[in-house]
Amino acid sequence: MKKLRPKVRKYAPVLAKMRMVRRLREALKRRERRRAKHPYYADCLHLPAPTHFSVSETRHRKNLLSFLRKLRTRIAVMRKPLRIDFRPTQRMVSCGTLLFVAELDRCIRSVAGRVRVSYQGPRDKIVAQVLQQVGITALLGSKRRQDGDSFDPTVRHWRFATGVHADATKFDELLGDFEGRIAPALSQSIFKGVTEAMTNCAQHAYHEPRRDGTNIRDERRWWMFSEEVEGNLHVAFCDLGMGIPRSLPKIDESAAPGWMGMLRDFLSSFKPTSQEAAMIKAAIEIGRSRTNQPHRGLGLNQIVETAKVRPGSRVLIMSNHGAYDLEPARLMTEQLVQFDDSIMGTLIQWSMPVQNKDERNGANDGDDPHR
Amino acid sequence: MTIRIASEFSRVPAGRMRTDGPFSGERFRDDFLIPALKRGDQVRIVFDGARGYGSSFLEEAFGGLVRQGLFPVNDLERRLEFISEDDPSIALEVKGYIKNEAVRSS
Repeated sequence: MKKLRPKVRKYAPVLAKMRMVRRLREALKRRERRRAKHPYYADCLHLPAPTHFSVSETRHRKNLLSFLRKLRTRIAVMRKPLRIDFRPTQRMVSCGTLLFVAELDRCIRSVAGRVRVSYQGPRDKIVAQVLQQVGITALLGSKRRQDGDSFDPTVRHWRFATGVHADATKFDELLGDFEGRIAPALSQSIFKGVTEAMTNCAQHAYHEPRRDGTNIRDERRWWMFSEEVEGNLHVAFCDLGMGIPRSLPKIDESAAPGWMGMLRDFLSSFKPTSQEAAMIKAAIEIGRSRTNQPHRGLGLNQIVETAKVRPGSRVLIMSNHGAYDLEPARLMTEQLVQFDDSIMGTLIQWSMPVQNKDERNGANDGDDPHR
Repeated sequence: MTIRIASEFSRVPAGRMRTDGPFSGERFRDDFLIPALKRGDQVRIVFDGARGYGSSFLEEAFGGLVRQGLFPVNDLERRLEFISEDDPSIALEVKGYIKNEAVRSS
């Protein structure tokens, strides 16, 4: 074999690297040319996902809702292929993630497999685990699965459920991991809140179309998450219906005399720019429903009762533009927020501290108000 | 006669009307409570063992019983006995629904 000259020997690794880069570039170009000819890739929209999936933080809410609007339009209106790029995503908060899963699930069900939706995986390892744990990757047709037991502890206990009735059989799946770690009174209170939310979903949420431009015929579906983060249990529930602010004023005056007057009086003490948030508070305080019968509609106040069972608990109800935030331990116990954009539905999140070992062993009785 | 809701009906009762879900207050009232009241004199309802009871379920099951008008209210108050050791407030809540509906209906 011919010996290489010293100069060639010195630059051989550099030349080899340059050849490799050239070959890779040519291979990429060939792939791009092949893809350009394939109808799916030619027509596929590349949609970057937001960096933060959150609807409770104003700065991230706008980006997420804009992303969801584009997602709905592309899948359910234009019915064209879509590729969601999760590479920019850094953090998935339960409220925003649940809303995303609900929107995606609703759109995919509505097109029944006729539109191809794929994804580019995230750079962040935790985000990748969340996407698998809550079923987003399965929704997007991926069969690749990591072993869930190897997931980060903050992800391992994420649970997801969806349904179309007030059927709480999935409640145990969601909260089974927390058996014995939350006080019985608190567990019962969450159960009551969740079943009332399911009942409201079944009875009120989908009474009128959502008006999101998709013409999807909704099937009264709800979606739920549970997760544990830094010693707190978060349970989130959502529907993609008409929302409390639209539902509440539709009570028949003849069946519930004086109801509209009560509502007007209640709302008159709030600024015009906070009316939707005030509607949520009205729904809790006045406790009526649109079903024209005064004995119904007891549910929302039961939903917020959970916040009062254990110190450190919180309930957040978001519906359309409004949000009602109740945290008894906070200086400002109740907060009403009106956002510029609407989630077009209702999202309820309960947050409460999970008991640690010492509390379980010694102080359980103190948590139960009924003992 | 005793009805143990958790073991004989559902451990996870939820919803008001039959159309809401499989274990609704309406179903419990029409398929369990009313037949029991027609069969026996005293009916004991045991609430223990279930995950919990939403207000919609309880109101439709027991307030709805008064709305149906099949049994006089004072008869119901005499014949129905409520057992709830896990959460004694449930018995009070149910009696409240019966009383409220009686006042509303009269």
